[in-house]
Amino acid sequence: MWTLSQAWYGDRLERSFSGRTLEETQRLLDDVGLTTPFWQLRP
Amino acid sequence: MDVLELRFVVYRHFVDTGSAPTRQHLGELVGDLDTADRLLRELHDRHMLVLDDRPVRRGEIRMALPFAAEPTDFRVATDDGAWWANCAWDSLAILAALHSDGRVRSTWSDTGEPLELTVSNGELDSVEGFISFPLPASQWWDDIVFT
Repeated sequence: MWTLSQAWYGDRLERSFSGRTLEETQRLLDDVGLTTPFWQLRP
Repeated sequence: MDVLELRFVVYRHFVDTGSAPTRQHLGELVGDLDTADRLLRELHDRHMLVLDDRPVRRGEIRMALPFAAEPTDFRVATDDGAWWANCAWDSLAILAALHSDGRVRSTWSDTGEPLELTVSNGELDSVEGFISFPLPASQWWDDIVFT
């Protein structure tokens, strides 16, 4: 969870942060091994 | 001020004060309340913050994830300040966003016993336990306050 938090929120306080696409966000979950159906962002 | 600049202002306010800026405050920054409300609504619709829909605080900021605008069971502290988090994940996420070591104080949801997590030297200190997610990821934004 700490690793995911760093990837997900590490850039949140930067002025240039402008959000992420669904695909980019899904990749963050995939990259820490959260790949089961429970973690799929698209219904 | 454009919508992304307002987003940055909101987050800086959370970092600097531990609380959310009010609509009134943001209205003064952008020129008028209607403009502030329009920009805040756009950020809400883009899932970049969460507006309060309760009658007494309607339109005020309730969350700028991972920060919470009001006290919760998750208190995060560093040497530079303290913040409320929306949930267990968000409590770690505040330290990640700040790129700071710090401490999380909460309670175990099964026993009610006090819980303290520590991040030191950029790493989460070892702790035995689980973080529970009540909904699958595809439903998180159906009701983000419940999530």
